[in-house]
Amino acid sequence: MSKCRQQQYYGRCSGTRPSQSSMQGDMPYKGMAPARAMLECDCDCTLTKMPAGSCPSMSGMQNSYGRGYMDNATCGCGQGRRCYVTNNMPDFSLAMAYVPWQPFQNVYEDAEAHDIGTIFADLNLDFYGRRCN
Amino acid sequence: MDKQRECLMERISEVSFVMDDLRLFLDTHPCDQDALCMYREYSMMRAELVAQYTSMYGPMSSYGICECAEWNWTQYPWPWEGVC
Repeated sequence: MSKCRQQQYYGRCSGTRPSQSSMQGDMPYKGMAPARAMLECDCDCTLTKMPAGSCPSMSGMQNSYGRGYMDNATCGCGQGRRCYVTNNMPDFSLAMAYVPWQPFQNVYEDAEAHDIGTIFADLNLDFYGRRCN
Repeated sequence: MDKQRECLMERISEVSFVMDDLRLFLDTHPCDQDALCMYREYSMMRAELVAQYTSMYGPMSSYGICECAEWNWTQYPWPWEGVC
């Protein structure tokens, strides 16, 4: 999935592939300094416009993050526009970690579960980590 | 270990693993009726499988065996016996 499609990423849609230096697996970049958080990504910013008044204008705000402004008109291919996101969980306290509640569903058959290492398909997640160099 | 014994052992391992993972889920979801139902079902399944294994190949562990007159625990065939 294009990283621009996931709204928790900063992204500059320049139409290029993710570069090796900017990729850090699939971990979100929220909270990281903008320079490190920038991705060259596939150009497909299907981001929606924020409600009026919720985000200040982005003019001249090259280095700030945490303010959001998403607009289909400006986030286009090759325009080098920045896509920022705001806090999209405003009811939740900052600086705390949350774990979504797991429902009882999608249980594997016995032999399959034994082989995979979990009975829950929802917990059968690929590992995208890499070693630190 | 003959094929049937190996097969039974494998089934016991699988069912036990399902119960292990269900236990972890129930630790955080103590009132989940679906999980509880499945746990009960697998509990019975495991008891049957272990009983079957025990009747054919002897006890799986030394806990709960009644070797009162004579200690037979070491006299059952070891798992690897008969393989070569």
